[in-house]
Amino acid sequence: MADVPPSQQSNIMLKLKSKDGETFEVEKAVATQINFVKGMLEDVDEVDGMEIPMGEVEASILAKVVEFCKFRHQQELNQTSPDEVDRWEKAFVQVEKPTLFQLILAANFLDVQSLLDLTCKTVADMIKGKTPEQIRAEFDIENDFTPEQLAEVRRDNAWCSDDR
Amino acid sequence: MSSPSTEAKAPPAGPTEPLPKYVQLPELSPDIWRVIASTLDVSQLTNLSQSCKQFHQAIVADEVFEHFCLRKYGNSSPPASVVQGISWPNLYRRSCAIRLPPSTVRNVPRFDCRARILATVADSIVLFFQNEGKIRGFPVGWERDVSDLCDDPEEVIACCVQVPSLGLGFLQSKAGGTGFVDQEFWSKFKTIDAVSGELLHEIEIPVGRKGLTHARMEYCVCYPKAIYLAGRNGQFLAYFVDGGDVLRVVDRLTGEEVSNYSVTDGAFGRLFRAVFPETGGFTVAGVVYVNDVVGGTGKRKCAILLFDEDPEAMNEFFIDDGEELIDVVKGHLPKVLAYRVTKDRKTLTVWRVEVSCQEEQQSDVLVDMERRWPIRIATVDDGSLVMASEEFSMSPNGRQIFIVPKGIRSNAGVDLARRVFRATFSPDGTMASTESVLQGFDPPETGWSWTAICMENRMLVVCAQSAGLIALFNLEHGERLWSLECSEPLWDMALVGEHSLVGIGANSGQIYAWHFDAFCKKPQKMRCEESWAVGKCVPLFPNENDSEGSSSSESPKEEAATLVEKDSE
Repeated sequence: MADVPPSQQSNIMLKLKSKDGETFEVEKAVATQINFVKGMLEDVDEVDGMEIPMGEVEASILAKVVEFCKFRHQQELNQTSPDEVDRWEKAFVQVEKPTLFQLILAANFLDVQSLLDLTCKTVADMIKGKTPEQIRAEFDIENDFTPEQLAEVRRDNAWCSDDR
Repeated sequence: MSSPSTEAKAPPAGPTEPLPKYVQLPELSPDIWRVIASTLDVSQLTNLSQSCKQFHQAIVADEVFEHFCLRKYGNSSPPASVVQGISWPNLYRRSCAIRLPPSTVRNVPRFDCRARILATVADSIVLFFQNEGKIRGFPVGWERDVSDLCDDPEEVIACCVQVPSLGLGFLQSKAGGTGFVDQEFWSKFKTIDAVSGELLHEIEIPVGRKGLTHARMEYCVCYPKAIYLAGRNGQFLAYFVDGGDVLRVVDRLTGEEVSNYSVTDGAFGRLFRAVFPETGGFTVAGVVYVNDVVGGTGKRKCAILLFDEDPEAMNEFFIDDGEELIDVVKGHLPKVLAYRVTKDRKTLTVWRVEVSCQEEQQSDVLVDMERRWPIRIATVDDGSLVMASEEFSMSPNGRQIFIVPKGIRSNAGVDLARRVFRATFSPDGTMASTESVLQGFDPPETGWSWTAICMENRMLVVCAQSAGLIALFNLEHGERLWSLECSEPLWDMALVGEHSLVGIGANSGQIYAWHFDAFCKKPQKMRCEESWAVGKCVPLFPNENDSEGSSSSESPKEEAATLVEKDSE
């Protein structure tokens, strides 16, 4: 693809199409935060107005991805302070768990590493410091181990904690 | 600066709805789990593994396990002292087993040459040892000298082919056979039992008459380089003779010729080659031939397919003059056809999928993938054609696929496939949907010689023979389930019994076997359906596994992968 000066990139718009058919018109500079999109554009000469299907990503999730990318783009332009970024990100991931998991899948599929890191860290934070019982409660998961199986798992895990 | 959307700030409302299966946290792919686990310490991971079975299984995915070991031992695998000093947990045994050093594997008997895998039949494997001229079957351990399959000392084996009912057929060839013009030559085709090595039966088949020798005005026989099975249940043998000018089809049991296609047969322009499917779904008993035609914007060739299942229907499509047809796959749907060609100058391989409109004598190319190395194309039950290639993107008009070799490391001119493309066709033959399903595979930077094996059209094993790198992909959900680096390059490899991969170590000559049956137990997006259920998968060499402890296919605690070899001494 021919190189376009950054000053002109804001004029180039792309249409990101969700699985359920909704399109999001975004600047190319924002869309290329998504590596999946960036890779697609490498072999294409004319991209202005190009509609790009975003695989299995649904509109509600794609909206969040676009929102994240816009913030990242603004952050690059405005040199946002770390505190402000931190606050924004905390608010961004204040979503229900199904949405969070969908975001993880979308970030992974669309190859948006910073979003993947953020969402995975959010999940990890939900796990940290919790006992198995508390983890079950957090994720609304039933204990499907029999006592014998649980004992076996503990036995299997013993080597992890042993000072070997 | 804008704040995140109101949705982001909305508190959780009401009880948590059950998530669709594919977004349950425990079922996230290992790649994602690796990211999550990277911020957790070992004690948190162990707590997680005790929460529920799915979490537990997610934690023991190879990638997470490696991270786990990295945290604890500074290495992606635990030290030998840990492995040997304790009763190794069943759940981690696979990770341990696939890293067993070669010294723990006994050598193939008298192995001092490179061997070739001739065939894999049921749970047996047949190897040809070049320098010894021996054919051996494992695990039974039968052995035959190649000369056993020949009738006199001047003969060699021209080619062999795996035939139904556990057979392996060999065609005799006289190295210096000569004769006169128009003299018909016959050669013996002997079939042995690949499991026991016993001779099953032999027939004589016509092998041609043409080929001018250099010194004498006599004609020598051009023996077939390959024999294909054709017809239902492989009832016919099909092979080219006379330097490729004639395709003969004979009955596999009697040797009686049933068809004979020749360039002299009127409409045939140039006999091309027989094409047989890589996967099931249909059989080919006919011939592909190409007529040189001039029309349209340039010279093109017309390839015509005759299918055994519908002899009256003639399927034809056009390829460019500079292209050579390699392979054809016909979809379950009548109008969908995929074919692979090479382009002479570019040395590119192109997969095309097209929908033929027979009424209008037209076809529409839906997919045109120019890559050196598509992994595999296969038909699946729902009529989809699944093909492997690199990353792609759909053109704005949705009619063409762009291949985007993003992130591909290219060595020695060979690219690594990173994506599987799935095109689904609706009943009328039009493409209904597409998806890219494979991702995340970074190879080591060495030379390549790739092999890909598709299991049940659902699992894809990709092997870098030269690097000893093996990876397993789930075609249905597009994730890499597992990968490993063998301790040495693999000289040859094959799938045995549909659930085991066997490779021959290029340096040591050891036979490595990886049993994929235990992958059924992988939780991430694996469908533990009947054919994949633990217990229905038969270990390759069941008697040989016992030394490691737990290899019973009936046991849920069985090892997921083992290194196996056979010592016939």
